[in-house]
Amino acid sequence: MNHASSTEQRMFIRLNRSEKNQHLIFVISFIVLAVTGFMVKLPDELVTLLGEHRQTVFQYRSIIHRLAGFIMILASLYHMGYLVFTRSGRRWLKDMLPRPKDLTEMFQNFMYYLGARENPPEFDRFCYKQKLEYGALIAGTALMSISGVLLWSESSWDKFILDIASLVHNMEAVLACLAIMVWHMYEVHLRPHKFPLDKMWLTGIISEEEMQEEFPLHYKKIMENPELQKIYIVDGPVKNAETGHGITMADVSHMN
Amino acid sequence: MLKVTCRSIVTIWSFCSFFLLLTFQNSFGADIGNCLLCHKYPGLSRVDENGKLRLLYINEAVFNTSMHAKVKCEGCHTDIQKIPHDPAKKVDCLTQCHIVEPSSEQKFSHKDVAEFLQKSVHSPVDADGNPKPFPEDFPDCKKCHDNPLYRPMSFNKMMLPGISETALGRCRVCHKKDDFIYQFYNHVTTRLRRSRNPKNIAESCARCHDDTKLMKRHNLSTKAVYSYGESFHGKAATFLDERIPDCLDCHVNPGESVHQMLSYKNPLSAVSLQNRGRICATAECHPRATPKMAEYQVHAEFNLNQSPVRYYFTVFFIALTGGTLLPLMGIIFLDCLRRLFPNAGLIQRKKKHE
Repeated sequence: MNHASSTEQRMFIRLNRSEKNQHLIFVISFIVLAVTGFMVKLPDELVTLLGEHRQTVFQYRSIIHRLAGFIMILASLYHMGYLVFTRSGRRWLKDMLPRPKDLTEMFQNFMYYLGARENPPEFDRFCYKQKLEYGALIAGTALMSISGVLLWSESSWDKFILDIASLVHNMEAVLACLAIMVWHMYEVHLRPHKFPLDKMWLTGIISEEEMQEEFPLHYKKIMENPELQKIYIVDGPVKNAETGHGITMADVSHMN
Repeated sequence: MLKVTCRSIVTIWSFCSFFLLLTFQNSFGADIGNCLLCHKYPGLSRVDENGKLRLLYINEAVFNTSMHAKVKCEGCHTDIQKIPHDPAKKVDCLTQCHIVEPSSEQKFSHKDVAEFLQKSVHSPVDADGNPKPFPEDFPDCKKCHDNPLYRPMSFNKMMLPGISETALGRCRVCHKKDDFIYQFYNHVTTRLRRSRNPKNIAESCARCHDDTKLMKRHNLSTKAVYSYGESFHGKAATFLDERIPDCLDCHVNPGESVHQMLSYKNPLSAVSLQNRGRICATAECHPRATPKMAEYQVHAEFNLNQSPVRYYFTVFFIALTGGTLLPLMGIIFLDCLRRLFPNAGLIQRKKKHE
């Protein structure tokens, strides 16, 4: 294996190209859906500021909202296919499945937060927080998609079903947006050592140092297994110009 | 000589017609009694016996574009016989005015409307003629109506709202008086739709139906208009969309006067349990809607008795949102604390013995 020398930092793949693109499509459609969705909840006083254009604006709002919803549903279906039919997808699903060990790690992590433990637990590829968030994402997307399609095809359903769909769509939207703004944004971008922006969602890679700190068990598994090294260590696609090996932190900052 | 005189008369008549056309807006009213001599002054007002300030100013330009512009002042204020006059009595909308209803050639009055209202859910007396509890809560004409302004529609290829000069040209083929043409055009095209938009109508109904105390007195669910405002129809009404249904579209049978609104308990009512399924499925609204579409409570609110399923769903989601976010925020706080102050700890770590 042609890996970086001991003086260089290896870069590790967290999201492959397909996963990066899926995430990007999801991010864009989520933001469009949130903006166009919560426009309906704007106070009348703000809506009246749009003057005579308000009807046109809100007509386009509904079209854009449905279009973004359709794209998100397609992206979700693609992701399901990705999990089942691709090797990397199956690996993702296997690593993401909850295990009893997650409960132990959660407890150990709390003890670490409270100062009763010197080091945090050694997380594998996905820690309990990420598994919870991924589970919430799946449940939330399913709820929003089903209720959204019900509301879209309103003529075919009883008012009772539509009322419940409307209620679920509204309240789940609030929960999803708050979870993303409070939890996901903090976990990914706003933590003191990552503030103000972690570019991993764009590059798909993280440094060896970060890998050792955040996912030490996964790091150990990779370093012990040459097959995993082929998958997770940046080796081929982006090379260091001087060494021909994995890229360095300087390369990444140059790339960005 | 006669020819010259005729030509002069025609010329003068043409000039006068043209002048009248130009000054049409000001020639619309029916101030035969010259009431505007005083009432044209914006500051004209008085404090009545109850200490309320009464504004007595009439904006002539606005009044002339209203539906009552052709009714002379004395037509409604029948008690005023001389100028200056004593404090005027309240207007009785059932008074016969000088307007002649063209199809029957009878003097016009709103008496028929009052009869409709008397048989409706808004009547202060029940079917046997006995007064209902709190009769003062029921609306009279002026509770819902002011003097609505004309909102003429254009038929000029749907290009511009308002009066279509092209259409007026067609009127002039048969009708000679522009005064009449404008009046008729305004009246007919305004009455082809409601004089108010859905938002205004909802606001008008909200005066009573969002009044918690008043609704409680009559054992009705509160904030019916608020719950309408929370629906997609209500949202569209806020954006001044006139294509969406307002209160009257659902609560009045098609083709009937809005004053014939009946209680939902009445089998003849548009919103009775037997009929409400048909409301949504009209050709103009949701033609493919199943009859079941409207069979659930349209004005369902966050109320355990009214809608238990909706109530429990809401409670569940509130608990889920709070139960998710509060622990997450706790973790964020602890994580932040640990990273910013690595040596701090709420629980004392056991010291390692070497």
